[in-house]
Amino acid sequence: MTVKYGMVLDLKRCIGCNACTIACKAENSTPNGIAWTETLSEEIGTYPNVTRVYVPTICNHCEDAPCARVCPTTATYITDEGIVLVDEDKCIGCGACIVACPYKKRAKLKSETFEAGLHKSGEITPFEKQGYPRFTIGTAVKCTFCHERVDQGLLPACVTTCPTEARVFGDLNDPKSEPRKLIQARKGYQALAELNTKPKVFYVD
Amino acid sequence: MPLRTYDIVGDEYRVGYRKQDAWGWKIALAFFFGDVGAGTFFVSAFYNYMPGMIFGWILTTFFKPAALFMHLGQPLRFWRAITNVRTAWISRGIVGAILFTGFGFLHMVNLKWAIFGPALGGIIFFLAMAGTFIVMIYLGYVLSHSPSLPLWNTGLMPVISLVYGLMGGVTMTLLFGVNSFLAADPAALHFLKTAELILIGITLISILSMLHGAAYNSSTGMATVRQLLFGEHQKWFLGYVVLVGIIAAGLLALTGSTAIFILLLVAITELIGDFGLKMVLFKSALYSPPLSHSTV
Amino acid sequence: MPESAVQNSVKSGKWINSTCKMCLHSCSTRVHVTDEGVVNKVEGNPTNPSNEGGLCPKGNGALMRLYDPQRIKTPMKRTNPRKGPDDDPGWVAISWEEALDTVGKELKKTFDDDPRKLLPAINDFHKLYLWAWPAAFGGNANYFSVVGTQCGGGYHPMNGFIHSSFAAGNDTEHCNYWINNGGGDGFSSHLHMAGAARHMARARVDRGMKLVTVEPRLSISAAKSDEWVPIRPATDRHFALGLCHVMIEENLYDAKFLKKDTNAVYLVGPDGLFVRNKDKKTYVWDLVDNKAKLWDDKTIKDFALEGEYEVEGVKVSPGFQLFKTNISQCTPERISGITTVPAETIQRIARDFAKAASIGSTITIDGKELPFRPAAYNYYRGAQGHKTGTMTNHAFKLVNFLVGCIDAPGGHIGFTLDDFMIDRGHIWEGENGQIKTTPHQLHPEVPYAYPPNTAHLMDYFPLGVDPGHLITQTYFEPEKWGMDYKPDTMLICHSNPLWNLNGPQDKYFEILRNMRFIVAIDILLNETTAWADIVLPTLDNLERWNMVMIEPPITEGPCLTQPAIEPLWDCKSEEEIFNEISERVGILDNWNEVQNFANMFFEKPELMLKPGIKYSDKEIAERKGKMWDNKDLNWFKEKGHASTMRRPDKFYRPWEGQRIHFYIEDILTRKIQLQEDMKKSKVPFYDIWEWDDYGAIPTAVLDPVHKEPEEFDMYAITFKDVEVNFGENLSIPWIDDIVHKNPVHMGILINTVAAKKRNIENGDLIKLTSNYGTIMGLARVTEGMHIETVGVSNALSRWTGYHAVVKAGGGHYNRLLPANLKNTCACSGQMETSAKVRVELFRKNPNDEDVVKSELAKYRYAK
Repeated sequence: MTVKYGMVLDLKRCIGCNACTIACKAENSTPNGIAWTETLSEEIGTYPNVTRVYVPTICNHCEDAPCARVCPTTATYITDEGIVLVDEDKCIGCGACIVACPYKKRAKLKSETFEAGLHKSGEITPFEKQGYPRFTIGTAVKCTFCHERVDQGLLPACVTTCPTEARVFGDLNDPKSEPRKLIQARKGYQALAELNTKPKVFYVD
Repeated sequence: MPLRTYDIVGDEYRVGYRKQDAWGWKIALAFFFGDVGAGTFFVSAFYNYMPGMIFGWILTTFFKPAALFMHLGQPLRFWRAITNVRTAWISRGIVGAILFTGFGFLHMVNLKWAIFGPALGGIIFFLAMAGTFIVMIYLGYVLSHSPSLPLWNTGLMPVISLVYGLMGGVTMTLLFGVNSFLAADPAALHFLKTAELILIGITLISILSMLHGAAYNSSTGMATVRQLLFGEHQKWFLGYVVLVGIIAAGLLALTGSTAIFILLLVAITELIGDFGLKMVLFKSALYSPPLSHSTV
Repeated sequence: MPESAVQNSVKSGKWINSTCKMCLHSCSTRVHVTDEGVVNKVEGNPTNPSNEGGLCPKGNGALMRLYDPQRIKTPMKRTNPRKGPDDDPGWVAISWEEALDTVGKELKKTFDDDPRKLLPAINDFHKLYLWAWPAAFGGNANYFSVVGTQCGGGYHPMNGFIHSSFAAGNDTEHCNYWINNGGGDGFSSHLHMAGAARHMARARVDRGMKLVTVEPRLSISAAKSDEWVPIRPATDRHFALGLCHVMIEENLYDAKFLKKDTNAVYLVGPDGLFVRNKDKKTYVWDLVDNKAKLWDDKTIKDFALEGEYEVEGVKVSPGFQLFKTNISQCTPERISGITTVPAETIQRIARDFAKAASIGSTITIDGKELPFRPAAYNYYRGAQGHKTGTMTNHAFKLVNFLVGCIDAPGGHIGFTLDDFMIDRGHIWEGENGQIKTTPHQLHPEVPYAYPPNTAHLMDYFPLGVDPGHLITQTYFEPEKWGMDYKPDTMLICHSNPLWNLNGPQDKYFEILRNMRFIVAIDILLNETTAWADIVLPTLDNLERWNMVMIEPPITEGPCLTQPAIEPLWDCKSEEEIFNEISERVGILDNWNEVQNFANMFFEKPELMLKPGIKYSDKEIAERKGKMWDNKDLNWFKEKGHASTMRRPDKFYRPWEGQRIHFYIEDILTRKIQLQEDMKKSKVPFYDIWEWDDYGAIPTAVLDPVHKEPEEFDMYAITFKDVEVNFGENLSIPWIDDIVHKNPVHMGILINTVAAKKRNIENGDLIKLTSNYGTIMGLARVTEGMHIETVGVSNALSRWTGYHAVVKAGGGHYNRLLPANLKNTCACSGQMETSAKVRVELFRKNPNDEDVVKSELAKYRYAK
């Protein structure tokens, strides 16, 4: 059976530090305003009986991805291992995928952000100089499940860096994989599951 | 006070409704030109009314792509947009536009110079009309093809899209033709004016139903509708779409007047409503909170 | 793959083992450098058992500091003589030669005149030996900064008294009931966040450890807790004493531990000191034989913890009894009134805590049987930072004493700062069977002197941490304090005193304005260094060498920092800069001697720095590495660190067989000594000195902040969170992003009810006024704030206009704080860190960012 990559986000462990957000930006050289994973928070209750939940979000690499469905150029496609990618050579930047994604996890690259640089001052750092060339202005970009790392047997950057081990990545087709075990043991569920995009990212409470 | 509430959040790291911000006035304009152009051609073609057909054809063939080029991130690759007819409504819509452009042109040529025989001419006409029909309706399918934005995810969208296209076509045809072919064809005039009123009525009901459906679909839908009725987009929606585009247009149409000035006003108000609706649909759309389920 | 790889960590290049310096601590990292020599990724090093490959958001952003376009690229000299927070310094690039010669000349002038006239602020936490440089400058003991005192004034000396260590925290590996009082351990900050968070998550999620957070704000710790106990600021000590009261009252404490392992049983006389016989030996009371005996009498049958007796002709009581008497009024009801924590909660937590401690149980670790006490009370910055620094920190310790968990598996444990050598140990024998208390964890005691040698009166804080803020007293009223000199020179290295100092900002501005010469050593300009006359650029952590062990909670051993690339700009290491300056001032040999002492090189004489030689950062790092376990630099370069799990014999009860200090007599003896010295010198401020802060046992006195005028009807606290280190990393775009989108950093946090009462809504511009200063900010209404308290994040605290990314926030919280004796702990130097404020609506919903900026600017500075 082929590999089907997925992820589990452990809400009990997540502390909302957003190390994942920055690790992803450092890994992928994404420009200002674009983050492929972000951790949100939500306050629940009224003082003094109040708490806060931290909610990590990332592209769900849906099995029935609406973004792939609506892409007019087939730039957005799904690999055999279930990773949803964008072929930046084909993308025309129409944004249909952005409005089709229920999780708003896709974005369009704008030239102004590259020109201004991360410091918004026009001064581009050597880091950015070696990182930006991978991007095509005007195209859509998204999380790639770090497939270049995964191909080498590494874990995605956000998973590796998470200080509390709240992110677990692996093969959902293998019942003995870490994510599968976690989903079973702690009753994993998906975000907006009823929208039927068949997300491959699960959450456990 | 509810224990768990959601607000519309910007790019704040807070669970809430997030705004759609990838589609704006440029692509709204593209769809607008396509809609109105296809509609005008469609309606005019039934009466072989050349000026209307030319106007519609130019709008869809030149103005629509121009607006689209402004919107696209990589406009020079636009030709790729037809490669996913298998699943993507945008591809299908562009194919429709190409059918319209190509066969519409051929039809107009045929109409003027009758160079194709009746059989071929009939096929050309059919394909041209199929193209215009697709162009009028496909926005609705594009919007409702994904569950991402509750406001858009309704079966009424293609109806609304089509109806606005037809309405634009009818008002423009009336405007252009009132003192030419319609002066000589009172039955056609009467039909078009009745059609106009019916279409305005269908528009009103469709929009009300769209609101109703969205409001009772989910909290996101309700939040979106509240923005349209009471919030940030009240001016555009209640003002431009409803008051100007439906009520004013409707009242003006109800007068039954065929004065060119009135017909112009009807066209303008209707077009304002058309563009206004596209804009407000795009700007007000909200994404659902990513995870309203968590219990920790 | 490598040629066409687009992901930075898999591009062709090499990985270098190093150490993170994005906060005080030293998680292990690996740094990726491409074949073209660009640092394009920093990750955690999986081989360090602390962070195990994880890295917090700050660490992930490290390379952005290296590549900050606004790094100081060359030495610079000021051309605009006007100095002020808004004045453009008019920097002009100069050569190193000119820069160092100027600095050397100016400092030599000061040195020859009076070395005390130098005000240093040296705060590179990874190179603590640099902090000792002023000692080489004629024994200068000044300190123009309160980095270390805001969070650690009361904290560090008390850890020295109790554990003979620098820091302390709970045992993540075995604890089952963890109270977090005003500290961020395991969630936001303190002690190797990436490592602490990992082990905390395992404890909570995998082992089911219960977590209770007691603090005014719904912090990350509170959000992840089983229970958040909101508490009125500056009443944490009372909460702790309330717990103690319940545990003593209901007999839930570990009497055996107190009797066998502590001095709680030593008999104390009316003067507060132990009663001693002619040989200076202390007494205990044998309950069974009903008589006094010497502490090491072999015939003792049972020790009395309570009671009043008579020995050597005086009335005596065991220290435990004195504590019990001191807190006799700390009933749950009274404590509830003081803290706003419900009485029922105090009782329940005390009972649950004591029960979880499993008093009497044991555990076998490494073949050795140890007491097992898996309940512990942890606390830090917010809870400990009060005028009553010493007794507040002591109170928290006593909660742990009562359940016998001090330095026990599962309990509250001392963490050493830097062990220097693998088997050096940190416990020394004291007298009468007790361990030696070591309150001087940061630097040796500054000797008493009158007239004062220091501008911050450190001469009178023999047990404390530098109260740098007291310069606001001595500089402007020198006669009152007997000052016979006026400081006129400043050296600022890796510090931002204007930002960290509490109190009247206009006074600090004036001090800076009156300096004859200011030299700054840093990698980026900040609010303070913009006032310098000469700026000397130094290396970023990714360009330098270091060997550092800095209070790791779970591991021990030094970590290597090595350059990933050659220096980007014309910068020098701090070591080289100090060497050059020292040589020009003529104190190079002194400096080498001081380093030998600060780094303990004298323990391995072959490593000692020799006179006349200027040692590089690499050479110092190599020596520190060899100090540990004789491993050379190549070994460290390959491994990255010598970090191993803390050894149980060093970690758990390293003082086994001795008694630790429940009752800290050393505090009183030192106080008496100080009083004698001050009386002899006829010190004019004797009568206003806050002597009551010296106590061997805590009391329930209220901190003076509660007695501020009634018009200031709310409390205010400040905080930082995991993204923000002090405020310095707000210059990193990635950090800026995640901080300014995080609701808790987006404005001044105020409870919904408190806001409504003042007609304040989300996004309104509000003003906070204390008896000492004013700040402004946009309101952020939340349920997650104590009803009487507003919270001001460090993210709002900067005001520099010099950096493209750092935002001026208007909320420089420290302006709300006093900087006087009355609000400083005379024993520990700890200043009050909470405030009482009046909160007012200033302008409703000013959606215009420019409007907000201009209003904030008006209130940014007093003048």
